[in-house]
Amino acid sequence: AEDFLTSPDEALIAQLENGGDVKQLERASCTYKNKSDRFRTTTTQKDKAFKTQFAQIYYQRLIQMRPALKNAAEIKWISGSSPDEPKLVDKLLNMTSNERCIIVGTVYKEMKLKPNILDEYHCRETYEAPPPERSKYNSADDSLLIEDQSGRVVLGGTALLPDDLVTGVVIALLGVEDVTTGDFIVEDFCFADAGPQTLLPISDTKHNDDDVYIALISGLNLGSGDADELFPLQMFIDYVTGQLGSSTEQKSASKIARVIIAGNLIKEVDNVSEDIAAYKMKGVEAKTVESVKELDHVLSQLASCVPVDIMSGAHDPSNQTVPQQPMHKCMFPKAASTSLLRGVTNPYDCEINGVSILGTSGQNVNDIYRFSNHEDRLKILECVWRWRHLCPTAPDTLGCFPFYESDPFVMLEETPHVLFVGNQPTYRTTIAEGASGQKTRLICVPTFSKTHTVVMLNVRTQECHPLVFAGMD
Amino acid sequence: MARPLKRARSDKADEVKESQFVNDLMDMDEAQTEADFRASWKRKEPPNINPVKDKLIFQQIDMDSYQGAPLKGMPGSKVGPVPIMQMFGVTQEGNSVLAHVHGFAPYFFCTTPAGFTEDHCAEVLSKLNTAVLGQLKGSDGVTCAVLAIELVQKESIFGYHENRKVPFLQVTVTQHRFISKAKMILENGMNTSLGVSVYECYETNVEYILRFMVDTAVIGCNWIELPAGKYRKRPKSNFQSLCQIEVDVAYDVFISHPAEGEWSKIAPLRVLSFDIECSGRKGVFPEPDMDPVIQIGNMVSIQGESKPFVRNIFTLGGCANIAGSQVLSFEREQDLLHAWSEFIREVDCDMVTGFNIMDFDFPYLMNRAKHLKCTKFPYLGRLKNHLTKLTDANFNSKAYGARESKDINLDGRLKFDVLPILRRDYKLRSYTLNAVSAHFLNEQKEDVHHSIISDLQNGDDQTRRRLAVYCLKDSYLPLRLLEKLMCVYNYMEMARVTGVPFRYLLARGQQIKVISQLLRRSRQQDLVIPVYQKQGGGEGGVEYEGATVIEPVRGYYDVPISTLDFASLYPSIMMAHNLCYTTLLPNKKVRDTINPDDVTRTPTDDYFVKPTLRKGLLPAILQDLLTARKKAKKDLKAETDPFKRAVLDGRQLALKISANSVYGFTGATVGRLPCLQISASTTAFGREMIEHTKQMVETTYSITNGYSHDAQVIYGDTDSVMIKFGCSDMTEVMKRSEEAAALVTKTFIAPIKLEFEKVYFPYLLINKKRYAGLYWTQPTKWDKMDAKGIVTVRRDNCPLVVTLINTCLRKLLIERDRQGAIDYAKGIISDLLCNRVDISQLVITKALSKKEDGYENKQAHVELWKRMLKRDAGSAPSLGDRVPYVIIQGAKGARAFEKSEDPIYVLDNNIPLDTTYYLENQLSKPLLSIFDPILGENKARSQLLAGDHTLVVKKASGSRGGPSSGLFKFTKTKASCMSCKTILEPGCVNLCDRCKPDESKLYQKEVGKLTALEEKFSRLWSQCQRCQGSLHQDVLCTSSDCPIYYMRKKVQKDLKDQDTIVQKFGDTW
Repeated sequence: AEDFLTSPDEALIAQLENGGDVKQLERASCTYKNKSDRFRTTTTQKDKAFKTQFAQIYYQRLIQMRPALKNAAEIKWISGSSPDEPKLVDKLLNMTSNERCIIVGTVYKEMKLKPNILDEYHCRETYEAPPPERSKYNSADDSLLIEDQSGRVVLGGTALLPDDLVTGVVIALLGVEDVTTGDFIVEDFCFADAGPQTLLPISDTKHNDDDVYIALISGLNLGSGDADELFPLQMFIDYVTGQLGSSTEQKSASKIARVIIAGNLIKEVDNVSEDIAAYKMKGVEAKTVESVKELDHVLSQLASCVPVDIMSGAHDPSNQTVPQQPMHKCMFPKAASTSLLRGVTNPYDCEINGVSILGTSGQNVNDIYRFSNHEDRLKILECVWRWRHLCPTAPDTLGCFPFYESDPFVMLEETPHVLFVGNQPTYRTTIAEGASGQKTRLICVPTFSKTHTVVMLNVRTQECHPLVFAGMD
Repeated sequence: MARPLKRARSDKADEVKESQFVNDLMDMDEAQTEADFRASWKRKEPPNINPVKDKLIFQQIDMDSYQGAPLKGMPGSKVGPVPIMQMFGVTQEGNSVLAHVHGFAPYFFCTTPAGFTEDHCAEVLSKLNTAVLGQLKGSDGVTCAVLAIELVQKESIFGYHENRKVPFLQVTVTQHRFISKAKMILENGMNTSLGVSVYECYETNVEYILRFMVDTAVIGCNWIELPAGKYRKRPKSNFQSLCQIEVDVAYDVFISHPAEGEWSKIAPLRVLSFDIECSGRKGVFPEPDMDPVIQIGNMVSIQGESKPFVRNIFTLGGCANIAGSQVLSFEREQDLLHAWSEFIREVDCDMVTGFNIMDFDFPYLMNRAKHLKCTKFPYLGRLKNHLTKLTDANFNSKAYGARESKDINLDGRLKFDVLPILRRDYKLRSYTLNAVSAHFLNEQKEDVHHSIISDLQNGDDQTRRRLAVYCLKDSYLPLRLLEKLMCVYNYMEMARVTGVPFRYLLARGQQIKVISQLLRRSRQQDLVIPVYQKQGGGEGGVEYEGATVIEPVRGYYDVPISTLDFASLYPSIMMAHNLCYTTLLPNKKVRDTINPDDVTRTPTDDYFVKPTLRKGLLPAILQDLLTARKKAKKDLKAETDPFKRAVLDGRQLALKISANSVYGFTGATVGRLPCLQISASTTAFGREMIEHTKQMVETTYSITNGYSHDAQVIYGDTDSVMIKFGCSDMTEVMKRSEEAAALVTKTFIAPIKLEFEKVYFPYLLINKKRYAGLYWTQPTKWDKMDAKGIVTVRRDNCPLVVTLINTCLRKLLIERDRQGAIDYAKGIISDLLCNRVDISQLVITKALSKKEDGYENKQAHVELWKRMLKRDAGSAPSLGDRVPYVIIQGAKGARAFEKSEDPIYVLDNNIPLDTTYYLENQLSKPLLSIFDPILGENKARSQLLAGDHTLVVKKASGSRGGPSSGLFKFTKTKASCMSCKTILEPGCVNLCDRCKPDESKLYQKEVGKLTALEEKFSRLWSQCQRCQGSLHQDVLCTSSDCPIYYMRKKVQKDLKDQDTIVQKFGDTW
């Protein structure tokens, strides 16, 4: 059964039954390596970066991904047996009209509804209502372009639809330039797909007792101050810390070697508004202060007996653009005193028992959701995997640090064994398989405050299951 | 034409070895596409017309005349040279036509001396002919100057003559230029068998083209039909022009269709829009003698179609391909210019547009071609081998002001520069292409500074491509503006309504339009127009009293204020009182002979006869115009086709403007036929009517008459009165307004009509012509906010003022939130004093024109320019550029012009702004003007400009004069607590011990600021990428008109600073 903890009453009874029988359980241990250095922005980087424009990151992305796309395209469209086979054009502008060819470039999606800071500025000046916020910004008028450092071309034909793609994806296209319109009529397309993957460590045993679990949780959204809302979370903490359930449950809880909290630890608040006149600003406090206090309390319990990695998320008091830097220690005077709590970046890349795990707090997938026609979050995650890029919509619609030396979001050298994304509406999982046998477990980690669900990832098997901490009712 | 260079050469590093075959293929493909696109320039071959069986119909767009040999079988003088009209046009199928119209001879009128009879004609003819020829001294082979003299019955337009026609002579000459000579001879007195007599000349100042158009009933841009068998087709060998069809026709056999019904359509005209780029030197605006033309971008579209069918760019040096556009590259600039000139001829456009082409692009090209000795270049018109010349044009119009400009002849192609159109028809804060497209198309345009243009040109194929894309966009925008503003429709309708050639509309003022109508009308009534001798001294002439206003009762009105307007006030007065040249009774003698009942005495003590005796010409013209306007408006309501709607709307607008210009014509003392009795009487009647309305409304709607309140006229201007009925019920106010309008109208002569149009509620009356209010036309809901004359569009106001005043007005009028408005104003003032206002809101711009170099008074922008030249000549603005500046803090007592500074320099160097200057010199006056009527004069000042909100002042610490200079040399900086500013103990980095427990709170506050800046940074820079249309290339735009230009620069700096603050909390974990 998935929900092996269905009712709190049952749990309480179980705890009482086992009350006297104290049996020491050893918490599972594992090897751990944080591989997120590429997501840390350094002071030296920043000195230059804030003067840099976004063209650099697109340029780096294209340069880094081009060989992979070239390779994929050749496999797909060039057999080498026929002389009329399409040729790969090195630059978009060297394309010859009316000649079937292969091009590689970055997609740009023209969207009528895309929020525009100029419109908002204009509205503020003219006192008009700003354009409404939407859950999705795609429309029937969207169109696609492809560009590289030499220029851009409008994409035509019906093989590739604007709805499926977003700005920033690097793609290879087979097609022909129409002489009269100058559009490139797409016949077929391909993505970089999964890159190389390290082999999984060979498990010595197939015994369940050697299982090691990671608890993936996201969207605690603390700060409502409502005890009822806190209850499921408290159950989760009690469960992990072994204060809940029967000996069986305690045993399985003891197998949790690590907890990863994938962002949105506190609830969303408006940023300290620019609307407050300067002379009234003094004494105005950040609205996150109370929530952070509550969070510190929760984390201090959890991290008392299990390593906890906290990733910054969209609502959290850290910088906002990806990659988000770890939340500052000073906000957790209680919890940070234990050595088990650690702030990490978003995206977060680590290796546990030789299994590589890569994940985000959800901004990448949520942004693609808003700017494409995809409804299925798992599908989006799979797209990200196939595009071989974690955050294609950054910097266009997703705020992004202006990298200039490389694009750290390209999943170039290594395809992770597990790819997760936090703050999704529901728990979803699947296995994505690459052309040369790469396998990646994809997981949508649901928002805990809404679903009360935690995802248990078995590191040994990369299997996972949800654990629901239902409320009082 | 030189062959364009080969396709863009790719960079060596990227060059892939390819087989010879592939190269050959590319070459073939190249040749193919070039031929293809050259073919795409040409017009479709015209159908083979048989002049005997087929009629030829075309829309004429331009006309000109030339001297030529008379053609056999055509009317008019049989000995040459004779004037021949050229009519350029386009058929419905899109073929270009040139019709040579023969036989129309110029003429004028003169009075006859006493005793003159039919028999004297021959004598005068021969004498005059001899006299004129004598003046010519036979130099140019003219054998006949005066063609005919005829005795006709005419009447002078000036004054009422009891409808009696008198004999006039109609003198027909062979060439238009003989008219002035003949006039001189006749007016100096000529000796005939009747003795020496002086002949007074009429209509000698009518241009040949206008005369022709009036007599043949041709109006601007109408359709001309040449009936079968009435015209001759020219063989190609005999073509004078590059048009596809050339015909000869007599002036009296073609049909000129009035622009009505089917004939109101517009032919598929080819509109070319182009833009040139020049490579300038650092710090100097490009000069044609020095700096090459490096690119010319062209777009050609068919009028009414949205997408241009030719898109190409001529580049100097190789240029990488641009999808969807043809790239033609040249090694030599001469070849580029020649090729472009050939392109113009090949594509055979009917209209040339662009942005400021008349004052920049065309003169630059012409001068450059001259400098490079490109002899084949200046043939841009439609006439073969006819040299295109650059001339100086002085344009002087009362309505549009004086302006020096350049003109070139494009024989048969219309010049339609977007910039002067916008200057005339729209009042804008800025007229740069950026500002205009942002305003009308809601689109920001990338702006590349000319110093960067040279760098791009000197780069490689890619950088030149970058420039080319920019250049193409600049050539596309004028087309889109024309389409959006429907300029072609509006101007064409204006040409049709007033009957003048299209090209007069931009080149001439309002007068010519009235003259055209006057001539057409007087011809029907056998009236002739005297030649008015201009009074010396230009501006001089008699001043007469203009419209007066009823002194405004200033204040804030919280009850509905009703507005009654006189519809088309001046035209309707002229119609009602039959004010015209033809009805004027200039002297008492004539007046005494007429029954006083048939005479109107005007308030200025002038006399006009009533329509019973003679219906005036001007009233008739006005009546026609207004009736036509009514019809156009009615048709517009019923029409659903957007093209036809555009035409109709253009027409009704043209009719309105024309009707109003008739009054102006009679009052223009430097004009062709001023008559101050008419214009002064018109305004005097207007004043009386306003007064009369006030009296009547105030006496009728009074408590004595049983109304709840005494009505009060609180303000009256030229053609409207504003009434406070006192009652607050909107339905009741509207009812009373309707009633009052009808009541007052009854006391006036038709067609004068007082109309109830709108109610303002609430209403803020600041001063004459300065008010604001919510505009209601129905009792349930207001329509819009209307503000007149409050925040001027003058650019020496910074945008902050505009935003502040607009927002305050909205809060006051729409939200009716007085306190909200006050709080908002206080907040803005506080933000300003604390340096929280975005710098783009504080930028003031002024154009740097040549004249100002020698200005005596020092001006802020000129002084700044001089300083910038010293700093870095390369990035300094050039003459002709607009200089944006802000006012910075200066030494005590420093004058404003010394404190101006470049906003970018201010951002880069963190220089503090003089916020008090902005508060006192920019904000306070307009702010007090709207709050004074509400709060009372002293109270407004004390509440808004003093108080809490003005006490917190943050001064940005300038890095100018940093630690290395002045007293700073002797100071040591010590770290202080981020929170309480206490000097820190050694070893502490960010917070003192007392503040340490609040670290989390402080961190969150600072990180909150950081996230806001990060979001701004990302959104601003990615928006600029979208706008420039490229992800992979750096944004180069320097459009200071764009609201985010400074913001995006500032956020880089702010982000860096804020990050440093956050970093002070130390690295984490």
